[in-house]
Amino acid sequence: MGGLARRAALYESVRKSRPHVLVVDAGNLFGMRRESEKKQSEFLAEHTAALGYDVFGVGEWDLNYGLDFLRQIEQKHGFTFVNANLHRGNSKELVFPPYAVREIAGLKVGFISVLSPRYKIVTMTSEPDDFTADSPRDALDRYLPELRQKADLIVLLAQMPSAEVRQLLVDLGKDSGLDICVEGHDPKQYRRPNWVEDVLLLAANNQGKYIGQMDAMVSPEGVIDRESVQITIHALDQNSPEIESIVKEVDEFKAKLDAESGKVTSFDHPRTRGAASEKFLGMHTCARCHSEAAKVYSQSGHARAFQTLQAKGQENNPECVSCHVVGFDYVNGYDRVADPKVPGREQLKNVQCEACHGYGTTHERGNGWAAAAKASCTTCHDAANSPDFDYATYWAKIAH
Amino acid sequence: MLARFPGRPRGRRSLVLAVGFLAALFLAPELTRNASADDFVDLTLLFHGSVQGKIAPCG
Repeated sequence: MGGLARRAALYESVRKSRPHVLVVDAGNLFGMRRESEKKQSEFLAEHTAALGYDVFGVGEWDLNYGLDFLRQIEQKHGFTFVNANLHRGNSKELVFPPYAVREIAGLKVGFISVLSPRYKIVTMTSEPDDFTADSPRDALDRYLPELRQKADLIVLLAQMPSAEVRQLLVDLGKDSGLDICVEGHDPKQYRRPNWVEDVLLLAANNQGKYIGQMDAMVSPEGVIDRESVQITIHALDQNSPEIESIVKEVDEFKAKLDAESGKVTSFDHPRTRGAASEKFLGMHTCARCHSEAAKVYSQSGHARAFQTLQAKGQENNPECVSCHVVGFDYVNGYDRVADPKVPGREQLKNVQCEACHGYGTTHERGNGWAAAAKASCTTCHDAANSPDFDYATYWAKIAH
Repeated sequence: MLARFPGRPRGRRSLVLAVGFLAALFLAPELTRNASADDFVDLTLLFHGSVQGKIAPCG
């Protein structure tokens, strides 16, 4: 189900049969934190722009590739993202405009969006993940009165769990000024007019498989004639018409992406340290004699360092990988592909023993083992990546 | 009103008046209603959320 080609065909059909059409995305347009999904999201944005969206709400996934990426998409495709409660760090300034107004057939329609504070924003970039969502209720109390002055009809795009959306509408009460609320997060579809405190609640979510359509007669003052409201949930299944040219473009893009992801190549950065005669042996070899130290390691953040990177989709980013594996800059150190000449190098993930202590093959010869490890901390725990680093405090976490 | 139909038989005048009355009775509300409905905007909102980067059919 779903797909761009079916969505495009549906929009074309609706625009031919209906006189005044507005199109909104209630947030979480973009994909997961993977390089491949980032490329796919760029492709999606390009085609979404061609479908003529009026406004986009902001979901936590929309910042998966960082704010810079989103800004580029905004500029390139003329997208309007709105959000009334998202800040960065201690700044009181909103990251996005809180609302936007679109005029259609003389009717001014205002769109405002909020994001639940429960959703954590983590980007796969080196930008700080310091986004903070304030209380949606406070944000709406602040911005709805001024939006009401500018718009006849007001639509809330709510990136929140369904239960929170309903509670928010109840808390705001019948005089909130809202007319319509589109839920954007949970995979739900409301197939009938659903009124909560005189606000028409709509939802059609789940990976683009469903498109919601609301038809209604609206007075010039923005009052919805309840009798006229019709809700249609279009399931984009195999019986849905498609636009062939888009099917072809999507197929070609997917084939290209699959080909790229299937060809995982070796990191090609220069290995400027170490020697070809030395080898990293892996922590299991160390653990044979140093079982207590291995136990401490297994419970430390060092043992989960690569997992942390994967969670941010950065496991192939050399700038990040170097501090999350063993010997990235060293000859015979970690690489993402197996190499018969250096068995096991692809398993040198996480900050294992040799990341600090050096090549295991040098161990038997003894060469300032502990001192070398102590000096190595600040290679990664530098001012940029670990501003709070203090040797004594951090050593206590991994003392062995 | 009757003076507008001088010389016509009384029965015909009554018939014209009756038809006129009935026409007004049925058409006036219709005309009024249409005028009011014309002020309304026949609005369509297409909406969705959580596309989550999907471009091709799945599931």
